[in-house]
Amino acid sequence: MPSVSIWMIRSSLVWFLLTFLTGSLLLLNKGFEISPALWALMPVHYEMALLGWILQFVLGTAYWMFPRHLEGPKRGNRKSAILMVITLNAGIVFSAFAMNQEWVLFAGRFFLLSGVILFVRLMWGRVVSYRDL
Amino acid sequence: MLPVTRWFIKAGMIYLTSGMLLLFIDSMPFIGLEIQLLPVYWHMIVIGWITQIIMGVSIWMFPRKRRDRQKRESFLTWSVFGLLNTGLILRFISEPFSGNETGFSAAQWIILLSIFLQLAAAVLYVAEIWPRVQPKRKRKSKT
Repeated sequence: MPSVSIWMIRSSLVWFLLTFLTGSLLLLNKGFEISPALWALMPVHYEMALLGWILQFVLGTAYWMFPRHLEGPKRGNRKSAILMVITLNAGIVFSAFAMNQEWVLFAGRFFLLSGVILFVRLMWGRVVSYRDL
Repeated sequence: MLPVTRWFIKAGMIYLTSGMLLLFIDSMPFIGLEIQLLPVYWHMIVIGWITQIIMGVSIWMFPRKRRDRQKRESFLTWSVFGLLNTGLILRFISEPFSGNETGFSAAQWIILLSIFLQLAAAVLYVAEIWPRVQPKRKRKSKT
């Protein structure tokens, strides 16, 4: 497994645990009405679930498993891939913890978009079949 | 495909169908439901369907740490399946009825148990998968 996928999948596992922890707090609050302030965790919970856990796990696995290039770097430019991991995770952190601050959310969405564009650029040429069908 | 993977994927398909059924029931204009079904629907899709498919396929496809650890891994993976699905079912039964009563009701105790089971499943899944996410050369040197 390439190191880029290792970072992405392991980060997604961390996000997965954080998602379950915040989800547990929210469910506990729903059942036992601990504090109304805890509901502020709701956007944090679903941003972490959808972007940190599901999206990042799927992208990391695709980066590992999709057909590799026959010439040049097997999985494309490594620097772009590292930048993709950094921007994606920065985007998740900023988006999840924006807490209604629109400039933080804007920065988060910008990083997310950059990460996804980098991913698509890296993977576009790897969506191929090398067999004669 | 591993037996536990088949269980994860089939359970996922049942949750997907149940989620869609719930959404259909919730949209019926002539049924005035007083309980909130939307949180149940979202968790059926995101945990019941998507997360379980990811878990089942990763347990099946990700490189195994060591062949001689097969038994321990299979115990862990079956525990994840059992804990997560019991937790989810308990959650779906109790969540729509929580928050309406004062004191400790049965629904609240079931929610507490479901939280514990779901968290335990999450921790055990990470314990199973984390060591299997590693470079090929490191894996080879261990075997």
